[in-house]
Amino acid sequence: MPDPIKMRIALDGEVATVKVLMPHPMETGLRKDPLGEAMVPMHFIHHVVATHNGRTVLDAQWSRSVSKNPFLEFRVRGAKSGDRIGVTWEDNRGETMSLEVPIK
Amino acid sequence: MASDFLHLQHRLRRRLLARLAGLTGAILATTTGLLAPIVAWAGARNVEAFDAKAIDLALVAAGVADAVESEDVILRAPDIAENSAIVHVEIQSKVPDTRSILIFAEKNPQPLVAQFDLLPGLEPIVAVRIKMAESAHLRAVVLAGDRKYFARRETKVTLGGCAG
Repeated sequence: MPDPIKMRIALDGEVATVKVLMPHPMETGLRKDPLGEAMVPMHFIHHVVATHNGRTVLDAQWSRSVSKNPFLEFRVRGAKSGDRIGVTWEDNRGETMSLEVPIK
Repeated sequence: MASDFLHLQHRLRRRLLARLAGLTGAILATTTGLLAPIVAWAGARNVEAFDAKAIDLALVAAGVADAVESEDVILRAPDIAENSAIVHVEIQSKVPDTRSILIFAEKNPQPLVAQFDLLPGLEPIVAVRIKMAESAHLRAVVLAGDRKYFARRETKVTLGGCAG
């Protein structure tokens, strides 16, 4: 299982800038394993949802062209200290991971 | 006469089944919501657009081949990326009511990299790091109602291959 999501939130007035790191191999399926024999199977995050106080604000579909350990940045308006920002990802194998943190 | 009646019956049954299916969907969504509060998968994946293997096909499949180039779409990416596996891309839209932002790497094996659907409460700006197969134009497309706009810029990569 990949490592947990990391999230950093900076509140400037009513706008929260959210930076997210999602540890994940993001394998394209085009790479050979270190022995150079078999191809490493495709394994990538294909869906990401971000929420503000439980309400979806961003719904993203990704391809395998997103970098390994994906970085995502977005901005939520109407945010204030104590609000909760959540991120959930799902990969092509059906694995998912979520993190929800309050804005400081 | 009898066949007309049967036909009507068939149509009614189909309508009822469709309605039931919708209802079941709603119940399932609610149940899932209880188990995992953050899962509210809204947009369906445009598989055809993501699978398209050339930029012109991907643009058509995504329904954005007729987008108009606009300065209201701001695409920030390096002129030269030292590592093709990590190219930082930021897209900002100044188009009112921006609903979706799409990013394409025109020479990737499958050019559509990501689609971001923005819901109320999100600023029309996103950043993401992407892989590029080779030096190519990047293209950002913004959807706002029926309006479609794009921006395009070239990014050269000095360290090849998108395998990493």
